[in-house]
Amino acid sequence: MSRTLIYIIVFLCGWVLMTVEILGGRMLAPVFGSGIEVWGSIIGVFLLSLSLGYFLGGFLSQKMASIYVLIKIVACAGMLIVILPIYYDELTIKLWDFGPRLGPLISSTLLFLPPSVLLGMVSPYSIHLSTRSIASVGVNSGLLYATSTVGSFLGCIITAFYLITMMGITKILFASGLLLITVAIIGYLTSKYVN
Amino acid sequence: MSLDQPIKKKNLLDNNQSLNIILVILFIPVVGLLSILTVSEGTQDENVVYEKESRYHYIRVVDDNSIRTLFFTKGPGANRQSAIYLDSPDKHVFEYTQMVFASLAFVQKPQNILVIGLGGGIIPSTFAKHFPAAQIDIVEIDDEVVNVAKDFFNFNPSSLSNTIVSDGRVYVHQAKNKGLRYDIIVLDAFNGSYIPSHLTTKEFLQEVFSLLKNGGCVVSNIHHKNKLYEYQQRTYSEVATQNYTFKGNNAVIISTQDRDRLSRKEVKKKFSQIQNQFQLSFNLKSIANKLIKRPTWDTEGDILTDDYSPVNVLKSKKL
Repeated sequence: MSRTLIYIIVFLCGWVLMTVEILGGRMLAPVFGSGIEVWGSIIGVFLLSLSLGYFLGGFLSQKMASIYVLIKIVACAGMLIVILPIYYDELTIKLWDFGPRLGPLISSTLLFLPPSVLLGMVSPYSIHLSTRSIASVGVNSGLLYATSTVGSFLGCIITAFYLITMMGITKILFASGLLLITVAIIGYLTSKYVN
Repeated sequence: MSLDQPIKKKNLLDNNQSLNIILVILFIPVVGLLSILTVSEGTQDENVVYEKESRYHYIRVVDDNSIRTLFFTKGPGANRQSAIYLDSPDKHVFEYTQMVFASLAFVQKPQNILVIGLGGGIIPSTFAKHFPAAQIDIVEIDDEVVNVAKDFFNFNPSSLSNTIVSDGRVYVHQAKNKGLRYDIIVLDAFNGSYIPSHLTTKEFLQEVFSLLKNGGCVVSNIHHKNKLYEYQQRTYSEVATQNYTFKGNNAVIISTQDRDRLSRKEVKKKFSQIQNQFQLSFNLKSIANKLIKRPTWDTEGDILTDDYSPVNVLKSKKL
């Protein structure tokens, strides 16, 4: 049960991460345009956040391994995403003065680093939680990374092809954050009462 | 050897200090930003008539006094994409859209016109008004811009015009394969920041020129206050034999493949003929003075190609 839960969490975190990244371009575009500097800043900040998240997630898994910690990480990432629509607009307008390079770079750091650090923590932490033996660590981490990256692929494609034109930025961010929070709640309840 | 540690629920929930530290560090800036940004009063335009997140742009239509303006971005850096007078939508607000009609000095009776980049549609509307028999093809990447032009900027394409929702470069390539030819081609495709880089290169312009009929001309609207201007001018010189630059708030380059160059005097004479013949809503004769005499840029240097088109960098460097 808890292994299934971990796979679902990893898949959804991969999905939501790339959904937010694709939306990132659209969130900055009204103020900074959609030039190469904007995309460079966004992709760069997401990668840096992931590396920070990988480090912290691995570190944390050694300190304490518990499905509840994973659930808390996912819930907090969801909350940070749900509140993005409240302030991204004002923030980017205020940061316009920093120019065509620093403006998008600072904006994407302030907007996307906090949630994506948390989403980055999910992978190494999940590997620790779901690995039963040293011998299976390679197979297990391979499976988890594959799951997470398939989630990312679908998050990219479905957001770019359909969601943006169907729903608009605010609703997608809200739905993505809520999705993570919901999974965290369901995960909490099943871990607490089913097992 | 097992990696699993026995789960002691209560104990772990109380004891996850490191996680809490990480969470606090990540939440502090967000809570800070939230409180700063939501407390400070929003500086919203009161006169926004329409706002829409389209596939390519953040479209805004703003009414200010008697002028209605189209924007593709917001914030202090937003460029005006198009504008009309609310009481007389035929009149041109921008100087550059008037300069576009300097092209009539080079092509007297255009039958096929291509306009890449619609905006509010004032350029195709003016062509349609004076040349009701001309076939006008308009290429616009964003279908929402087409709707906004119709709903807010008085753009009513005639039965002879054809509005195509496509990327300009893709359209030009397809038109070439279909063997389409034009007398006048207007390049006026801008996104929120500038001309998309794939519509500035030598390779693109060569394809555009291959769509010209004999004696036709290409009209390009560009900015001239940044470093990119020099590169664009050099690129046009490489592709076309004659380039006439009209320099006002924007620069409009009219390019032909003619062997002979019209003198300023001849251009002026043609402008007064056009003015009398068409009764334009603006004074074309005053535009003749904007024709530059000689290049104001370094004619030796790099040009823009598909391989090397640092449009983003150059456009933010002041000349």
